Amino acid sequence: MRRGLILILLLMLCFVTISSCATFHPRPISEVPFRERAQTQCENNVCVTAVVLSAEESEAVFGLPLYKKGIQPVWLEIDNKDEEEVWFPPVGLDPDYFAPLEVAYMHHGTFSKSTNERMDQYLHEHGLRGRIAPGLVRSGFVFTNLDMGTKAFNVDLVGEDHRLRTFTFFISVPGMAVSHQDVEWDALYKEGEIVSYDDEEDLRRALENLPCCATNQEGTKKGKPLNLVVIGKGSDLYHKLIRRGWDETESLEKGTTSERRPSSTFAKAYRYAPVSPLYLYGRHQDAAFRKTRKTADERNHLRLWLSPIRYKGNPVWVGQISRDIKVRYLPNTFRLEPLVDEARTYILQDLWFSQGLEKFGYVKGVGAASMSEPHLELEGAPYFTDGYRVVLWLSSRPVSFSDVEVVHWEVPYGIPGENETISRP
Amino acid sequence: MLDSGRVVFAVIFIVTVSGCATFNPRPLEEVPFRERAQTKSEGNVTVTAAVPSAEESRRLFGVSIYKRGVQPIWLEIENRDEEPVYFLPARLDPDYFSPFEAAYVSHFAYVTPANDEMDRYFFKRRQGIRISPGTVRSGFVYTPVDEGTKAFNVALVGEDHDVRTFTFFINVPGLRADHHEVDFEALYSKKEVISYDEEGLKEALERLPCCTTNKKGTEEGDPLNLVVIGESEDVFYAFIRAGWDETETIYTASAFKTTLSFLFGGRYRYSPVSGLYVFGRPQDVAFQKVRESIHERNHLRLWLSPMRFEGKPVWVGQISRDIGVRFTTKTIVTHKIDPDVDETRDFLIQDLWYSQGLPKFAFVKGVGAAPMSKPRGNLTGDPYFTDGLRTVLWVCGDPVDLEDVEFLEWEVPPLEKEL
Repeated sequence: MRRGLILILLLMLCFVTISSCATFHPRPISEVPFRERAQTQCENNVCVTAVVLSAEESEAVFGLPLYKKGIQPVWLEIDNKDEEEVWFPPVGLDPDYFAPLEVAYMHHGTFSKSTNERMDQYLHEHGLRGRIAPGLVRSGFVFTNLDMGTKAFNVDLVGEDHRLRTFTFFISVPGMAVSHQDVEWDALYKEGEIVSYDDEEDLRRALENLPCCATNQEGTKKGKPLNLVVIGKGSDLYHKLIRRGWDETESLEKGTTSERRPSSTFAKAYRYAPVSPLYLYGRHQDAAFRKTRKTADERNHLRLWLSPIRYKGNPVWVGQISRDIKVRYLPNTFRLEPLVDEARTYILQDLWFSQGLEKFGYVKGVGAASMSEPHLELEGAPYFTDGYRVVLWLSSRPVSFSDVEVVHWEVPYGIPGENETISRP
Repeated sequence: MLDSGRVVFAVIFIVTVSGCATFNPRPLEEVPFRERAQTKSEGNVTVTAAVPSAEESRRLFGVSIYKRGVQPIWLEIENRDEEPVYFLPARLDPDYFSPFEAAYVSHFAYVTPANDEMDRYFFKRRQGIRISPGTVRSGFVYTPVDEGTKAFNVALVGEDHDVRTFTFFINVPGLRADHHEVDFEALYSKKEVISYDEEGLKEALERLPCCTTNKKGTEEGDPLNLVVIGESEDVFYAFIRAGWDETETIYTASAFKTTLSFLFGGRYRYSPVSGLYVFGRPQDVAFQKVRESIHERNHLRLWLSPMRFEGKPVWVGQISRDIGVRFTTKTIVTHKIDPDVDETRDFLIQDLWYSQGLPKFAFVKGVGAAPMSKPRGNLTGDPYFTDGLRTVLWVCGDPVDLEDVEFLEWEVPPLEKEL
């Protein structure tokens, strides 16, 4: 009898504990000051204001740990001063966006029925959807997939006659120290160190004379080849890369500890881990980007250094691009893709599709290495190459796919000793 | 005695292991997958493409590369032009595998000469980037696996930077898709088929039943919130191009795969879809679009109706979004659908709009409104609420520019929904 009573007491205690944990306490938006970071853009009588909420802000606003589930709320305010209504399709912002009630359902769990209903109601009301009538301002949240570093997205608004207004945002998400944030670009070189060229042939010679490879810290050993040169403004390069799905990586010095990462259960957290240092001009890379597949088993790495070279007033960036492949059967072991030219071709296509490429060409300077006699990088991994570096001129304006120019310097036919499987018909 | 036993065991072990680790790819001629090749020409350039099945790929490459997530596409590019053309694999698939990547993920467990051989073989068999004037170059592009229908573009750039794009839809053997088992010609007799003008079509669509039913037709299920107008081929390609996957019929292997991914949260993209009934039969075809796991996906079911508009078939359908798993008394477990079914319906409009498959759309009555506070229920007891409209989507085979989509103002969904 007594035992039964104790059991009932225990059960009651347990129930009280659970239901007290499982409360749903969203806070009014006005109490969470995320809108201080808002960015606004206007076009033809319509203004869009956007904020990407941090992990803490999301939890404060919704009372739910959204980042842990890989959900990142984007707050939008659409001010329609036009005489026609506009329609906001969230697919343009993120094709895999989460529906508000889906987000609610993912968090139902141990809550009571009435709490769940309150949660449904709350998320439904705060979701931004549908059409915005002329003269109205509407605001609300779109629930997107989590990105750290810089989140790039479009807000498309469809007007009458399906006229499309596209607003492109690049918003930095609080919570991660990125590789290039502390570089003092103006202090890298003294005025006397800058070399300017206006002639294409002079530039070509300077690029051919660059060292073949990045090195170790002491500069005593050669590492991966410097197979990439980019000519253009840093902001253009950065925007193009982000738009094509490259992620910024964490600073080598200030990388956040694992506790501070969005969530250890969030499998994609690896996307932002620091890229190991390689050295040129006596310093490690100024910026590093990574492009990861869904499984993170294969990824491309890009390291960039601002060089002292200027061409027609534009900065010249020297870079190293390579692809890492996971080794089967060995945990956390990656190998350099030995055909390094493959990753070089990849970034050429990537920037071509971004419509940000004005022209491109190839120069010597890396030194050819055949498949049978490969070169070795710092960790002893072999690689082979046709010996060229690709030179990419960026444009600030969009360049249509068929307007990209080729500079006829070198023509890459393939790595030495490789038999092309060509038959003449 | 014991020692010699061990030695024998070790020898057997080594023999077995190295027996596994031989690399024995078959020559192209011995694997007749190219019988299914498709050829397309533009100007002086001809592209032939074929996709080997899982079994054919295993023979061609000596390893089960489908299991490693790699699907080879064979291309033959003939350049009769006077300038070289360049093949851009990132246009075919932005996540394509380089030859060494494809080989590395297929490697044997031990470092053996067979692995080196494999590297060289995958590399030698690749499709090259540059196709010189007056030559034919053939080889494989390594891509992520798609079963059912593989849809891809082959983009070739010339010296003048003219881009020639060749679009392929290639059926890959191995998937038992639901629509392969429907004899569409035999569904309706000539007398049953009715053609409508625009006004007649609107009325007929409004008169369709509100909802799907159970097999006996005694209980109402999810709402019929979707109408698609287009030739079956155009409808099929429009969905495939928008990234929707086909659906397998229910048979032992597919049920097994579904259970596995249900338990372990995998991504069986072609999982069978339960039957709902309209016109006295289950759906003719179902498509699904998977997100992270089997529990999060959009489903749509289509039935060919006896209606025709401007000569084109009219399909009636139902779309819903799975947002998780739920326990029920009837079926033990079922997928929970997003109760805001209009949200899912509007997703589809956007999805087809952005994939450029939508020339025209409209809304008609017929579902009957249900506010959030008084939801209706589907067959598995999931509540849903709706503004009561179904969307009518015209689809076409040729890409439609984003700004050229026409909205036919039959009904306009309410700006604010009744709560």
